[in-house]
Amino acid sequence: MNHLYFDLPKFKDKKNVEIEVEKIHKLSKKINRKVCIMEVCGTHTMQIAKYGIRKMMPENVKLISGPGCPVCVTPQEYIDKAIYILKNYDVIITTFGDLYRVVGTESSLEKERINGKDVRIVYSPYESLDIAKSVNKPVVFLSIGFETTMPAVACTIKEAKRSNINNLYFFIGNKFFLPALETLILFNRNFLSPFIKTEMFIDGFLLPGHLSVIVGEESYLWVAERYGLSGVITGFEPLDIVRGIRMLLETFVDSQPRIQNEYVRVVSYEGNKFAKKVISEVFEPTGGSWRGLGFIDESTAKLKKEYEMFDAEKVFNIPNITINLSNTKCKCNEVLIGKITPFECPLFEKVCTPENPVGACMVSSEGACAAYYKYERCYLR
Amino acid sequence: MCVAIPMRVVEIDGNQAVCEYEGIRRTARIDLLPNVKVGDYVLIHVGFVIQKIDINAAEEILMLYKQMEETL
Repeated sequence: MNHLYFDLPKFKDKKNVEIEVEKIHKLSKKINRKVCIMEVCGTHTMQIAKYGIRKMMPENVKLISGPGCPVCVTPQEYIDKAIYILKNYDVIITTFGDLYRVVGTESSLEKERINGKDVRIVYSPYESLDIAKSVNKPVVFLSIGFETTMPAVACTIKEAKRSNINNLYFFIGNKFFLPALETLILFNRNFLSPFIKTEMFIDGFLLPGHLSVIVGEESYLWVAERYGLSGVITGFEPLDIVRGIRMLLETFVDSQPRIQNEYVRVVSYEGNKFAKKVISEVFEPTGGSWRGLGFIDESTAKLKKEYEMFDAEKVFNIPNITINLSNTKCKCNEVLIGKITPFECPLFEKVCTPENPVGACMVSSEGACAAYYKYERCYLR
Repeated sequence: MCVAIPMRVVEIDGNQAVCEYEGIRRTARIDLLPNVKVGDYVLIHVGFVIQKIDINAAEEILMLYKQMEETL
């Protein structure tokens, strides 16, 4: 048995996708109203744009992008603080590539590196550990990412403690996605905030596949129970995505909101219990701000007391930085919650491009603006 | 950011697994899935194995489409 990764290409197969798209069109006729489906994972945003799935949809099925990209929701002050550490201390910064070009108030990690600072892109947080072992100065890992990435960071921190490494620090910007999903739902219904007065209502969610690998289907049951909204945990191949949309439409037709799992090949009901355990051993939730969504209780990760010695914020003296967003025309905040599409931002394509990005949604390869710029400019305005 | 890559485990050494996909090999930590075995298909995220892929579940889905195509 030496077949290549079973039949993954079949999940891209045009015929299979067409079968689902036909079902979607049939179902949409039974719904008789406009429905709005939000994807809350950056990889979905990218794949929907790349495979042209938006234009396969019937007139009354609208797909919008939500806050599914950890880079995009990281507040600007995080970047500013990271740059502050870099400028004021003799350190090596390690970061995922995604964050490298994000622009802070005055600079970016990329610009600082050009100016001679030591910024290294790593694929895994674990690489920071090896770097720390090989140098005699502090190494600071810029830790961003949702529940998907947190277990890997937690394992690295535990390993650093076990092997007594005392020059590795973590600047924690990790966020818990689930509380933000609830805030988004509340925003959307105008329960909470006069800030958002959108005409649009989200009817259901395509839920993030790989985040769900960790948290499991059970983590979303409240979406249907408390708010009467449907969600489908969806994989990332084109067939997965159209299947996810079809499964959501079925719940609109029979008016029975529920959580379903399309991505059964990797997502279980209870998730990865080892990963969940290690998250709770190392991190605890605290309040924190999100670009686009503002301050959300229990949404930001913080190191537990026994791992505090690895906390960059405790070790380096970083001033409090507050950002005044009112003097910028960048509309990332509104793009992130689906209030507007990237086309409606005055900077899109004119001032803000992937080569010269203004906002995080254009920098990150998974940001909605980057996806629209790359794949969707030729149609749909 | 939450991208995960499907690969196949070809070797396990302590906390690390050597994984392969289409001729590309790389090592990944198995702290998050300690019971992984050689031959398993797995998902890898930022250098860590995060889940085993259930091949049968995938094939069952594809079988449905094969049947649907035949009845068209």
